[in-house]
Amino acid sequence: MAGYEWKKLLRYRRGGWIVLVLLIAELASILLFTRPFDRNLEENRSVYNEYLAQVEGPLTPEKREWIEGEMKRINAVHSEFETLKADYYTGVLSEEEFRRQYTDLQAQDARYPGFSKLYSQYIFVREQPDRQFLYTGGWETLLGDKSPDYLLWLALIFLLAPLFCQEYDCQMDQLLLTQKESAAKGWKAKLLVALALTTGLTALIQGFRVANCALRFGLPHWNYSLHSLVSFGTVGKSMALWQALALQFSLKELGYLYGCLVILALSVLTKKYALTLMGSLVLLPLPFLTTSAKYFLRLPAPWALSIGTLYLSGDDFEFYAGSPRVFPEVSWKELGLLMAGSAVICLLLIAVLWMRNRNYHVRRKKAKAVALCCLLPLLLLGCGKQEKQVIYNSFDHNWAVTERYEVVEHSFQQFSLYDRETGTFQTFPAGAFADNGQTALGFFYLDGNTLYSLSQSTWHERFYRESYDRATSLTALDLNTLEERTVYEWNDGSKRFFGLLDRSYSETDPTFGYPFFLYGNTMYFQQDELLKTTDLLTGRTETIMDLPSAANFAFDGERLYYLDAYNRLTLRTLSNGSTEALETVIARDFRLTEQGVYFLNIRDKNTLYFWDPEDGSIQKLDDHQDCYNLHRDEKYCWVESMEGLYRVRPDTGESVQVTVPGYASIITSGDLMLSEDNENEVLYLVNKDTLEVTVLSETPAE
Amino acid sequence: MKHFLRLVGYECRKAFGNPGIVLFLAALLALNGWKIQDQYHRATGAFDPYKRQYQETYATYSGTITAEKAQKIMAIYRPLDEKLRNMQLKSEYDPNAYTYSEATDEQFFGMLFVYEMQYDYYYRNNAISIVENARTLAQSPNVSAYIARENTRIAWDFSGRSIPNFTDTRGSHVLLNYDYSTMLALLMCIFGLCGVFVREQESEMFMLLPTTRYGTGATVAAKLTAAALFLLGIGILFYSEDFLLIYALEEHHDALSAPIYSLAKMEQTPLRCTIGSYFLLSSGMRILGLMACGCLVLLLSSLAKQTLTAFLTGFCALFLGVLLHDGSGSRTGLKWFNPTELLFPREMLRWDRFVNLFGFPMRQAGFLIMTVALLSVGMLLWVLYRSRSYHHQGRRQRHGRL
Repeated sequence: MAGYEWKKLLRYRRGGWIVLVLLIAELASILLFTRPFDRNLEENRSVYNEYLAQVEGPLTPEKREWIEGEMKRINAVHSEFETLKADYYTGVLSEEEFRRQYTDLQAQDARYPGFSKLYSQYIFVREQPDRQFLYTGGWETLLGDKSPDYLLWLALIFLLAPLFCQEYDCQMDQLLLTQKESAAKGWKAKLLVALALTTGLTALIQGFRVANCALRFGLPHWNYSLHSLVSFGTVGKSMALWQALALQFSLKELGYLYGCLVILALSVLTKKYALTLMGSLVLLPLPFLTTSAKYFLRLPAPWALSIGTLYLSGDDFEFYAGSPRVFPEVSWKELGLLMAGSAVICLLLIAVLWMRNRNYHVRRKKAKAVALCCLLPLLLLGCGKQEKQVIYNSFDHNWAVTERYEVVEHSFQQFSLYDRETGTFQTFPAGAFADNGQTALGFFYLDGNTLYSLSQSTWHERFYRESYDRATSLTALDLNTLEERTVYEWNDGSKRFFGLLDRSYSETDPTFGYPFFLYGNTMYFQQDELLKTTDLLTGRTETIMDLPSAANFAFDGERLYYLDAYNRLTLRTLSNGSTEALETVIARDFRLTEQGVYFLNIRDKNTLYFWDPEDGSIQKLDDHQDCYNLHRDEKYCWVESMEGLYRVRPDTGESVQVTVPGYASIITSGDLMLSEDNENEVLYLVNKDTLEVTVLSETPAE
Repeated sequence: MKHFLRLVGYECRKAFGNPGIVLFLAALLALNGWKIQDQYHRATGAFDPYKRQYQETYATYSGTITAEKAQKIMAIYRPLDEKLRNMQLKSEYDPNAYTYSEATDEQFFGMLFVYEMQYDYYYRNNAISIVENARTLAQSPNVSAYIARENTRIAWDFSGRSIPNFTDTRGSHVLLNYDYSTMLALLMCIFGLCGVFVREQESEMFMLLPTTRYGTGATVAAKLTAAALFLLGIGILFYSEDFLLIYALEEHHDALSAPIYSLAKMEQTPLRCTIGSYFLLSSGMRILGLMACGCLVLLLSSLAKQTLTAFLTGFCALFLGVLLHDGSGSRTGLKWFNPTELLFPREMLRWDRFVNLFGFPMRQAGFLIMTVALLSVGMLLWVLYRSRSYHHQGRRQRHGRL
């Protein structure tokens, strides 16, 4: 009889499809949306693993000494860097020697972030004797997941509601009582099917989670104490990790089985589809949306039980109207009482089923497929790969120049669009709401006639000082029509799903902005000394490689130019990731132009050189030594050294010293250069050819 | 007409008169009531111990913001602000403090009075700068004609705006951001409407109905009218409950006549109405949204053969619609076909956005209402088509039951 019930559920009621869709959706969400507990740790995993291998297990005095000693040693490495570089630049060390020692030091210093993770773990472990060293990332993710599984609840409701309701629907329930076998066995078979399905689905999904954590992060040493995890460090109950996992799993099973019995009891009591579905929706997933599950901890109800980890953790807090509310930990005794209470209620629900037992008889109907109207979201596809010639230098991120327009900064985060044809300034962002909380962060990327910029809008919730909403967006301004459109938004200040679920701040939220460029549908940007990419359609972020922020990096539409660890200019083709390092160009800083690369040659005391990409030759342009800053435009190169600012003509090599009042921001604007005097708030215009200074205006657009 | 009204009454009782609906409605209204008062207390509970001081201070500073009021309050607040910046605020009990201590004083005056009074006072300048920016852009020679027209509209929208009075907007702020009742109303909508047409299919009356006197036309019209009345009733119940609860919990109601842009998040709204009329407008829009979603559910109900399928597909479709709304950001391309967009009037009316219709700017809110209304009418026409009594001659019924 149970076999027939299974066939009915999975085949005739299309339950098999629902189960399949559920499993696929769960798998997808687990694979895509599981965030590592500590992202920093994941990035330094290999170094951390090496150190951990030395100290794994309980803390002993030898390990303690070793860790403290290692900390002192690594701290000392930092100071050695400076002396080494000074030696090289003054010529005491040869280049080979410098490179060798530099690689050594760098290799050792690169171990610092990984070791500091171990050190903070060491400080945590030494507080209590039963804490041990192990890699906690996998366990934290597995045992720390406190959000309810809405997908599973919905699927269970839609799968289990028809179990009894179908009989009532076709009014066969009365007739079936006359059957010989069905009276006692019928409802038991259904109950068995329902419980087996729930258990199976919960176990499968939990299995997915465990497998995901085990394969992606690793779940070592499952016999260590639960206190070794930072989130469970001060929990009153003491148990091993595998016991905690087993407890979480059994609580989850109990919770979902409880919920399953609620659905069945509802269906038997109300005898109607719509009422059952509605009732189950209101009773089971809706409370999670009304308040947080912490409030249900001490109730013998399926809500908190189905999120098993709430019973593992210690005291919980919630801020309510400025002061914290404490939810004390659930002790073993309380937990036992809770489980007993839930078991009693479950038996009561089974009794309800028994009292309303019915038999059923199914007539085979040819079921027709119902056309489901699916609203397929029409995704706007981004532009294809740019074919035009693009020149982007990251150190020049806060201005952009075309033939007609240039972006000018007059003070901190105040930009204007200067129109050369009419000689007028226009506020930037070019919109009416520019001053009202929307600021440009000062990071631009020019691609043909489209100017991309990062801008930010902030709103303050006026009666919570600490809470404010901030939306950062990547906007594209078409310079032909001055039409702005938003390409990508990080947090537009609204909450999700009827204002009940929070948006999590994306890890790459550009709060302060960062230099970026676009390649196809991905945005490449530099954050925390790393080159990362964000896919503008899905928002997925990946780290590509290290990219120190001490020097410029450049992009020409196809290849990324940057200085590697040995200060060589390296070209990386973005489509296939291949790199090519130029041994002839060893630079302190460089700028990319259409003709080639201007750089400050370290080998020749930081003088200005030019690298020609066609033949790969380098030539010296100027004699001024010890330059620390470099700019370029169509006609000239500008270098800054301790003696002053010089304008160098690249073809003839003649150089002229330039004296301008105020702070000069050198922009490739043809004939003119802008310089501003911040104290008097005056803007000066310097003619690049004649070096004549004229007062332009007070800072406009205020 | 009389017969039609009787039909409507009958349909109402049939579809919505059962105890299940009444029970759920009561349960959901109770949940809603609890949740909104919880939200209100979370937002304002921090200052509950100082109610008496609040009444006194509010009596002094509410109303038109004059120079002397501003000076008076800044005289109190400035020294506290200085101490905050120099990290010298003490939080122990101070007998000279107005509320409990210096720190609570700073929060009391700052969060409840000064920030908002400053915002109200300077809003006029903000609006003027927006208008000037828009006008400059509109008149600048190198913008396209569409951008010029758009900015002229923006300049017109924001001209002459100011917030002369300081009022207690905390309750209105909670009500503005409260969407839980919409979720419950949507649930009731699916629950109530999923069975409207399917019931006939299940009990196999759909073949008999065309033979009656008031046949398909009047019956279907009666069903649709009953559904509309149901949704209207649900909307009125939930949204008036929200409003009345907030009204009862607030002590001062002058915020209702303050302009809508005095609320945080609504600084750039194109509307110029008062907060009270905004709540009326937003309830109206939400009821329209409920009707649009109801059209979708009715369509699915007429296509389905069983209640379960109708409920399931209706639920999934609207759920997906809400998810799409969350993910669509500002892109009108993803919004125009989504009936759940109208359920969030705050998101539609927060920003002064326009849609490019053949070179002329149309307000995004108006555009969305128009497209969703057209779609809903389309869906209703499909429902009417499904319930027609005529069929082409010679075409056999697929069910094979004739």
